[in-house]
Amino acid sequence: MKKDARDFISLDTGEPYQPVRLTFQINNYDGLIAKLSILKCIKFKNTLSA
Amino acid sequence: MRRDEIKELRFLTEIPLISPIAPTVLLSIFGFLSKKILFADFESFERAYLVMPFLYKWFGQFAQLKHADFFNSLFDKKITNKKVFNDVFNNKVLQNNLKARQERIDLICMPFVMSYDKASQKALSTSIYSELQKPLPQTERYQFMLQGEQPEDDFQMLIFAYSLMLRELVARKHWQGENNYQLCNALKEIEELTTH
Repeated sequence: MKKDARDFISLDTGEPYQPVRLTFQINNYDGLIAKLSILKCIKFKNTLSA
Repeated sequence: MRRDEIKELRFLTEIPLISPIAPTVLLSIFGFLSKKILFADFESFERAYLVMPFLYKWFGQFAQLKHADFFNSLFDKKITNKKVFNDVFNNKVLQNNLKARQERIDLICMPFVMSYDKASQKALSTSIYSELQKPLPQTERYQFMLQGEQPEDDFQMLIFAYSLMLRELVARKHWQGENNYQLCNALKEIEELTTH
């Protein structure tokens, strides 16, 4: 029996929920933070865990 | 993300990212595992491969993209709370499984490069083709070999995006009950669409 296509988790932009994690190797932490600080689209928040 | 910073992102669906009601959309969550490791989590394949070139450009020499971990299956909204997966990539057992998959992933990606060339298609070894016929694991790791050279790196990110698109197609078919549908079927279907 086929499942109803509407039953899977989808996002507000229409595509299905499928988690992806990109991992980066940092070469220059302070330089990266300075670079990211320029971007207005990124907000920093202190948390106890990742 | 702000309008001026994401103006080049184009989702396949025509749902506007910016609306008067919701002026911003959360595309990714970043975290530092240490001062050496940064991760970026995305809730869909499309968001990951659309935003990745943007991050590549902005991180520049300060951080290098190493690998991508992802889920091949779709999730039932009736039985799954997606918050359950927020911490799944930190699971050590999963991490070991993902590392074991790495070699196979590199193999799987090769035909995507060759698919543009009919002559090269014929040269596909039976071992690679048999890999494409195997069911995809629930989780996979894609290892990037970025060189810091623009054309080569762009091409590798294009291959990654193509790989995820094919996997999403396989996941959708499985959801519809076509459990024998694998990457080789997806590849063939895309080829037929582009040649007709």
